[in-house]
Amino acid sequence: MKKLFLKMIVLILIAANVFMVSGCWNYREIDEMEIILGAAIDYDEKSNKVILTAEYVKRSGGGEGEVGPEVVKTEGENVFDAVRNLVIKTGRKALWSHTKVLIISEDVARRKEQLISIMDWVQRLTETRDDIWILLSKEKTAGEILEMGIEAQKMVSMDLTDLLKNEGSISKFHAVPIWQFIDRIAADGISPTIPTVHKTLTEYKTMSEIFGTGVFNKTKLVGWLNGAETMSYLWVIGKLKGGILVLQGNDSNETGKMSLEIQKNRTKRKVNYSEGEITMQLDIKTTVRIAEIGGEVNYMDESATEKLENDAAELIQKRVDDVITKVQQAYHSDIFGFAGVVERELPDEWEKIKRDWDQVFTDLKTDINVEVEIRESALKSKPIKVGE
Amino acid sequence: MNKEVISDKQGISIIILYMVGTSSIFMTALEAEKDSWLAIIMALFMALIVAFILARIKTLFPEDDLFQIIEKCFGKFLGKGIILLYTGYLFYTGVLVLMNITQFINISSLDETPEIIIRVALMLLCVWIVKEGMEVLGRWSEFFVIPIIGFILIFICLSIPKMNIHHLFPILSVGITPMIHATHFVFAFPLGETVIFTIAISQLSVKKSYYKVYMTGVLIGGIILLVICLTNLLVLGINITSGVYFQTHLTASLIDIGGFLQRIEAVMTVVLILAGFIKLSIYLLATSMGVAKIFGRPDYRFVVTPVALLMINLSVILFDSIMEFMKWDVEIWPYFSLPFQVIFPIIILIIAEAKKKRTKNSIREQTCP
Repeated sequence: MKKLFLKMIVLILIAANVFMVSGCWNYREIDEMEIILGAAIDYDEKSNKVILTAEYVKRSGGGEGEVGPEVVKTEGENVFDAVRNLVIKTGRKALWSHTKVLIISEDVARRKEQLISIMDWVQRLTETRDDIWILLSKEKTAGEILEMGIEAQKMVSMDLTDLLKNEGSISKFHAVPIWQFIDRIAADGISPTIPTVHKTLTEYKTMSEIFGTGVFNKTKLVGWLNGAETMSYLWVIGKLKGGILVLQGNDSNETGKMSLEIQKNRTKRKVNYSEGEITMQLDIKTTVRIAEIGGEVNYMDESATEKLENDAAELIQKRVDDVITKVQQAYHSDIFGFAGVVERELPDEWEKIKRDWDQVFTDLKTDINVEVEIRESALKSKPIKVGE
Repeated sequence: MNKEVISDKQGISIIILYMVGTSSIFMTALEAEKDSWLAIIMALFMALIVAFILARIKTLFPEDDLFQIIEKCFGKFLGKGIILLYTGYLFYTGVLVLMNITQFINISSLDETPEIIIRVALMLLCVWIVKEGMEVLGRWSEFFVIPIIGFILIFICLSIPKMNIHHLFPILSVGITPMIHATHFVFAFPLGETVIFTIAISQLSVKKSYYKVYMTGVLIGGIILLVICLTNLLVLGINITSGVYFQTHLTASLIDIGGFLQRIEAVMTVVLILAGFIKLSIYLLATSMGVAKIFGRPDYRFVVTPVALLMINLSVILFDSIMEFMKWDVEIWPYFSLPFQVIFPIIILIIAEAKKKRTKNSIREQTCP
């Protein structure tokens, strides 16, 4: 009986230990950490230092526990040095597992070592996740994008994340998570892109906007695409999910501007190879619906619809052709991933031209076939009628 | 020695968990780049052949484990030598597995916890289950194999939206030499490791079902590995896959369904720990049985704790860093393990067949002169 009693005591002690020693070795309460939502990285050439601007959640006490943004700026020799210097400013260690966006400045994007060190740090650190969105600041510094949140008392990183998630309905930027960016850098021939973020001043407040694309040649920023060009870029890479195509009016038949809403898009990319020359063939098939008519022409007629389809197809073809030519001539950087198509379809030929792909890409001929299909016209069957 | 009997289903479960174990987190066939999934298929065929050989050996001597078979085939003296070699190999590989698991936990989630704490905690549980015996291990596996396969299936299904079929093309782009290397690596770790089950799974309740147990186990385990490998390649592409240590962990961390179903990587960590626990226990069990055999003791239980402590010690002093460990693991270990996985079993099979034939003949001569 006594033995059983002793056994029980020992068992209870062991069981009690479970509650006491559970948890991590380096257990920290949430109030001992700063939750970083977004970070912006600048590079100062004079002092050769990295400037990190971090936006974190400020918790004010009280029952309701309101949250607001707080922005801290630190300097360091490289990224991780700057990150650890955060502790000096905030007094607490940073928690990076909830970070959503990383903004880099143009200075950083133009320097290979800086860019590589940031990417490496993000992928190497245990806390940061590889699906952080990466953005390129079109302003002077990257930090000011986050800093404007203090004045407006809203979390810029959160707004940017919400915006990035709505890529499908805007189609004026192409959101890139950091792992994809790194993958693009590593792939042969293909170059990455980053969406650009702007700061706009209205009369009442400053706001952040994302549109356009920064074009890289491997690890070096070489140029920009604006919002409309980015949409054409999405057409080429086949990632277009929505957006509006505006047809300019035609004076002769009294049509105003028309909006076609893109519902579905499919881009097939093929390589045509004959006598040592590669032609990239793009078969674009877009389904749209009439979303806005600025004139009186009734497009429910079959012939009118057909004409509209042809006009739209022509417009798309022109825009796509323009953007390809621009990137080929001005940037010499294969952001469309044509290299991947060639590698897949002509592996032997690819081995030969791999070395000077940038040159081949610049001279690459494209053959763009566009087919537009108008499926529906939303709620209205006819345009608004204007009486005599 | 009291025989411990497990059912066919439990045997298969153990083999599946063993195969999934650490290899679901590490991809070993990366030499073949985009074609590592082909390498896994080829290795799977080789592994099935080896499993067949081992099952044949076990069918010839259904009552004995591999050590007893070795003694019967090679005699007392030479047999002891080979058992010693085998025990050393198992001990060493067990240490590698222990390091694999704890390094993963240490690097991916508990990065400020000293590794030794994780090792001791894991090893204590292994000692416990091994002391309880093979039957408990079998029942544990039978219970956990379903949730583990379920988790892996969920992980794969949720990864589908992120997959890109172009990551696999062009097929067969790396050439034949890296392909053979990769096949060898996958075969060495973990598909060809069936030999350990001839030691650990000493008795099945339905006799002569070794063919079924070994081959089904290896087949299912191999297919799971193949699917995981394909998932990683399809989601990440070869450039990222070859640049990180823990590919599955990264793939799982990219899953994001509708903004609320994310951070699945913790589930994959749990899969690794559960399956890795079985793997480690089997190594501990087999090593202990080897040590007991060398000293001629009928029961292995008395050496389990010392062997476990030695494993922890060796794991501390063996490598300085994960870089060194990975280099050894990938470049040297596959060659080191080849004799134990393939060459010895084939020799044993030949001798065993010859012995069996001779005894049969002598029996026939005795019965009908």
